[in-house]
Amino acid sequence: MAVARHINRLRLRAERQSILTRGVRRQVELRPVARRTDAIKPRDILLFATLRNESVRLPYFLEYYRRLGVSHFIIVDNGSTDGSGEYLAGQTDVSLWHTTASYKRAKFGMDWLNGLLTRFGHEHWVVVVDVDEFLIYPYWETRPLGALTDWLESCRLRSFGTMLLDMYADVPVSQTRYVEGQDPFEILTYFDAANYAFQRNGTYRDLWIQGGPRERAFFSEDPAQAPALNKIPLVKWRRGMVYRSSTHTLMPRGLNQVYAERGGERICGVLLHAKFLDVFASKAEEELARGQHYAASREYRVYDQKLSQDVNLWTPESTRFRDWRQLDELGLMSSGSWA
Amino acid sequence: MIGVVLLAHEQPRRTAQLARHLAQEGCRVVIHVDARATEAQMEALTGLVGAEPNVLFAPRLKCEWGTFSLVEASLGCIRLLLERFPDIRHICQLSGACLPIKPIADLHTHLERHANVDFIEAVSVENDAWVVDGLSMERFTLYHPLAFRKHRRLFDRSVALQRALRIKRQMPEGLVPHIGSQWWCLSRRTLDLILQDPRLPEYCAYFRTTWIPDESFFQTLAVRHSDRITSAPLTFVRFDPQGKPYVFYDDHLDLLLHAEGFFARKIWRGAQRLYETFLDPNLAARMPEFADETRLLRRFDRAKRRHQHGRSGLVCHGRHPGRQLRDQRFETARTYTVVDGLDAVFPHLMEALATKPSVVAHGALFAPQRVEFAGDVSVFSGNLTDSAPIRDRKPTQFLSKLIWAERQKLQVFTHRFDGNAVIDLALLSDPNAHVLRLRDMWLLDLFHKWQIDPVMTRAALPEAASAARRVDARFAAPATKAHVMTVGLGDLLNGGLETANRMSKFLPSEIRDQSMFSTIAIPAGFNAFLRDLKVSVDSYGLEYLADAVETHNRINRFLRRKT
Repeated sequence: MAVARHINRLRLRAERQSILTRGVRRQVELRPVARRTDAIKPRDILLFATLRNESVRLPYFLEYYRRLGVSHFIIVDNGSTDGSGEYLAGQTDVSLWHTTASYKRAKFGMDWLNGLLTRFGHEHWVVVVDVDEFLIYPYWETRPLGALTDWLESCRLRSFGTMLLDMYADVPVSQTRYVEGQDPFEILTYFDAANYAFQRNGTYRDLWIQGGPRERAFFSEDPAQAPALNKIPLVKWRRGMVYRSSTHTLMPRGLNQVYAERGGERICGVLLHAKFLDVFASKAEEELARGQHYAASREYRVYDQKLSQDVNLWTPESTRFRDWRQLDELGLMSSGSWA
Repeated sequence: MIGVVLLAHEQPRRTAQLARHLAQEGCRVVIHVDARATEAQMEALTGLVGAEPNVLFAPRLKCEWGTFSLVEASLGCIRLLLERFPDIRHICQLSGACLPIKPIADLHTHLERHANVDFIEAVSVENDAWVVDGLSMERFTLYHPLAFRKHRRLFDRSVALQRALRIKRQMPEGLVPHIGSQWWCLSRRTLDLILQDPRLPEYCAYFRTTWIPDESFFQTLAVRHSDRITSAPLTFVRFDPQGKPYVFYDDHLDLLLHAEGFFARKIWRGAQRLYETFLDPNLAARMPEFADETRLLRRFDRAKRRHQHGRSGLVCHGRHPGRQLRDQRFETARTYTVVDGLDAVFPHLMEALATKPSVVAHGALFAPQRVEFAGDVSVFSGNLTDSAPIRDRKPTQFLSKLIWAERQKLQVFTHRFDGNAVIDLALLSDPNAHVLRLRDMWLLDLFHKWQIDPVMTRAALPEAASAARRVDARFAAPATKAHVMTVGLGDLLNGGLETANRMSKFLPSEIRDQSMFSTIAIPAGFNAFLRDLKVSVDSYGLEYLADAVETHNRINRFLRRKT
């Protein structure tokens, strides 16, 4: 038993080392466009993201995280052709790298980010999100991100767990109209309040969450294939840590245990997912053609098929989003012992 | 005059703001800055304080949390204050993360009115559970030469070793260990007595190797030298279940304005609104008429409950049974009722239940094809769907989520306890489940088969009977935590009103109504079926049941003729 445990630990370490090495090696694929990392101060909160053709979403995204208290953005532009790169290079708090290498071969961008996190994330609180993910945590309207990270640190917590909450409008996806700079949640006002299932993964100790509108509308016959909704986007980074698969799972695995097991509640938040906008419908087609996504772009294939039928995710049982207290009350997040 | 000892280790900007405000309001301030603070931080602090004659800096010591260095630092500050400002009558100890929450003028008045009173929380270690998390009496009876934060493991080992060796130190004579918050306010008289005590060096030597002496040194000595101690503290501070003080943010402003005490700890460095409000010289104008802490304390209580127990029935990414339960049975948020079989003999039962206020009456939630939600909808509360594959991936979590989603209401559903082992076991082991069960439901099921093929059914009887007995045994198993009431068809037919009464009493108060059990419906030909089975095998109480059904039918016929 003890031997098996020891072997397992060695195996996990080997896996982590190999992910780390891959991340560092793939740094050669990145060409710095605007490097302003010298401006990073010791206590700054940094944001890491990979993106492609997101010029419409970017202004609000940057604005949102600046307001939360992110001081510097470290971004990989994977061959944008819509001016995203130029826009980002013009921002004084963004360091930008450019690559045209394969997103899929770089483990869906995670290799690039793991490398950059190793280089610049050490001893910083880092936010790792996609451009359509917006972090919400208890008291976020009145307490900046720095208040949360200070408190987490005083509790000796190094990672903060969230669930990806898919937001949608009450009209079909193709009929939404998003304009640059707009708060996407003026349009995407609804969410699913209860249909989520949690499965603890014994090896990596993460909770695998599936459910929500995507499972309900796209995978009701085969729920095992539904996308995972667990994310750990806020971490006090230390060299040697890696994201194993997207931002679902971290290594060392202790960081994945963002939940209390003995009945209590640990503080946790939500990533509001602004995916289902008109800009997404066109993107699904493009992404499918590129074939650069997870599991042979299975998800995108289903979306493309369903979206062409103009699917509406809204039902009479959808809940209208109000504020974080509502999510806390519904049990989709928890303020834990933060008063 | 009030003297203030300000212990600071980071946040020069905030410390300077606080010191300047106190000095401008007529206090004498001595700041002690941890020797580990950088020169740049120190320069920033002195620069920001500026040429304020009432703010002094004490010689800097290296302060390690939980060690005597903190006491030494404050002793140095006190000596400096008493020497330089002979007009001081009281000295308050504050940290750089404290803020006044009342106008300082009020504090002046309060202290003048209570000259020679010592405001210090000092509770006897022996008969009080003041310590939230950690050592209590052993802070004094063991040797603690190591800094806990720096040498955590060594510290624990040293404690374990001393416990094993049964080491028990003696307090210096005349001292009774007292403990309390280090944010006190002592009178000049008491401080003079403490500092002039000839045995002070002996006390210092003793406390040097106790643990967290800043929470016991002044407390113990104040008890020795003062006869006018009040434990009503001047600083508002509350501790969370992990023993850390709760931190205040901008959104606490209104709650803090209503808090009791003159200072609050601990303020988050970025709480701009709190600093602006409480360091405003015109704070008096903002003060409410009455202090009322209940809202603030309620919030802390909730945080504590969340930390310790959580909300029962909730599964989320911050609360999960984790590895503790191998078969992952999820608890439910409240009671619910499961009807097994009775819906078949009382055809209007579920309809009657659905009309009750704050009751949700589902059909068969665990039917094989789809989830039969109340109102036969395809999505229920919170968008739980009727998809059987989604439900069957995690049936117990599905139940848990469903009960959680409508936890304001009582939910009722029908379920046949037969084959679906996972959910059957989950329901039976859940103390929130109230199961009302018709024992002879298997006979009714068999009857429908018999109508189609009597011969085969007769042959299948023994097997069906033993399956029914297995289900019975499961109900009787010790692992069953659900509240179960089982009735037989015979009881319903012969017992009539009395059985209906019993059943309704068993149900939760929302649906306690015996009129629901008034019109029993036995399918035509059921009697013949029972007699037929009896011919093939004469057991299982079929005879008795057949007689009961016979009587029932006769009465029904009679009643129908009359009307």
